Amino acid sequence: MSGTADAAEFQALIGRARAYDRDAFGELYRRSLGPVYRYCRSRVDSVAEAEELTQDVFMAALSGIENVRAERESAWLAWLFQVARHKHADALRRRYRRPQAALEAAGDPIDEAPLPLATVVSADERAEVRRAMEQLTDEQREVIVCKYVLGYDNERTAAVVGKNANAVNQLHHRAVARLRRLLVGAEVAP
Amino acid sequence: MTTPNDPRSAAPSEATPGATGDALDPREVQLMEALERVQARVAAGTTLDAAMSDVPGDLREDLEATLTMLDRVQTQAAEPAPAFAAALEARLLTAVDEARRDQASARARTRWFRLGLMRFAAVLGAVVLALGGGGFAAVQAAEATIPGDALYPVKEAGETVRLLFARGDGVTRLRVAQLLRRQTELEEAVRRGAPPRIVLRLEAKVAVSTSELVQVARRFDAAGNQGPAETSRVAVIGLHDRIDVLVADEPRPEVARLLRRMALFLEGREAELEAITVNRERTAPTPQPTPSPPPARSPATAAPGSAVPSSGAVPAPTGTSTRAPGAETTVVSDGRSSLPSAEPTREAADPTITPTATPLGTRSASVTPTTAPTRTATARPEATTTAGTR
Repeated sequence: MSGTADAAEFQALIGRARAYDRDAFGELYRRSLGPVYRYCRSRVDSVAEAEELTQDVFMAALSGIENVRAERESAWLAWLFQVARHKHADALRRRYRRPQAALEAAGDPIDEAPLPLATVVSADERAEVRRAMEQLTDEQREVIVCKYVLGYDNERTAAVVGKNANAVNQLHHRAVARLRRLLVGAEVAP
Repeated sequence: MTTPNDPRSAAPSEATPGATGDALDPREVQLMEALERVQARVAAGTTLDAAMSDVPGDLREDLEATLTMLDRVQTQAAEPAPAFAAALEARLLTAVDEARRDQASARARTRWFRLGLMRFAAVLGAVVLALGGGGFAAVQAAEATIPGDALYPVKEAGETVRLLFARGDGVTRLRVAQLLRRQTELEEAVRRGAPPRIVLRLEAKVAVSTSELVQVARRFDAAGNQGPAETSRVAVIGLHDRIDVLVADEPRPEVARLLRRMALFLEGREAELEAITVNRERTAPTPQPTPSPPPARSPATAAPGSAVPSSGAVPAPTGTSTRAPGAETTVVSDGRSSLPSAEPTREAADPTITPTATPLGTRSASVTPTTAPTRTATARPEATTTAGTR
């Protein structure tokens, strides 16, 4: 199906979802759940938090579906990620007001399927990566999440981030270099 | 994919958001270019070793470390648990159903609200029209009522409301108009043969109206405005004259007695108003060019044939008592005057009154060219006083 047909089909889907069509919203949910969950999981410490954040994102999407003007799926996902960022920030503010015991020690449930390139890493290692990602700018982090967590190519990443391919490329280079400094811990040998 | 000659790699644009402090050194630029090439090859299906075969030895170690780091980043990705996905979908779809019902009910409420609003507006409009039209008709009908009639309170309420909003000279005009209404009511009551209690009520109302008129005249006179005193005096004289006519024709002794008492009361108010006028004339700084004789109750005090003031010197307010010579007053067959109340007809109706000179405080026909109201013909300069008609 061509891009135009995809866009038309997606607009029809959004239109029906906007009218609270059960099937349409269910279809949108099934298409978006994976990216949204992965995005959320990359931002929080535990599966429980990721699930809670994911649920908040979709409930907010339902509340705001009447105002969504996404013409393509990438724009819809970009909007969902934006909602996720706001919800995550809200959660962090709440946690700051009511400090809770760290959940990192509990580790992750074992039902998470390992990714093809992934190695088994401990919860500490996951937390270390996440902390390093939090050091990136919002745009750099978005690019890293899109390319390495969601597995998007440059074109789709650009659509989600809302920038052109060149800008995404530069953001990618800078983000990887910074992560390298943070995680590998050594500058590139001169 | 960028190439070594790509200027974007050699000199990253500082315009890129988040670029501040993240500038890459040449070595990092080389590393990122190598990384990009390797990733592209792997994405195209090349093995990692094959993809890295042309990477210079000094970069290879750094590139492997970078790839390992990115593998760790990839571990951040995780698929949602199927149970969670199913449960969230069920909750969401339930929420979708609820939202659809809420939306439908909200639309229905909006529709009903609009419909209700339109109905309310229609009913309100009808009520306003009915009350407005009915109210106007009621006020019109009330104008012809006398005390005791069902609509008389409407008339009283109208007068009260008008007085509330009256200012300045408007108060005098309204009070005079009130007095004229009382006069009309009195005539109507007598014509209908209304019981004495109705005449008694009218007597009380006349007393109130004239007393208030005198007070208003005093206030205005004190403020240097003589017009209200003169206007009021003319109105009171007109009513007095009309009552005299009614007394003459009234067959019922009780009612006639009430009317006479009313006339006596009015005479006192006339005297008060005349005193205000005369005092003002006496205190006027500029002497009158023509000496004025003392005001007399009757025009007989003026010399027969003497000239009357010009019409411009005498005010002719509503209810003015200025009159043409007695011949203009006509008496209808039943003995009552058919003239409007503003035309005094005492002389025609009461020929027994003898023209006698009276001191201040009585009605007079002033011959001075002042603005004092007189019981003289002023509408026509050639008219003369009706000396000896009373």
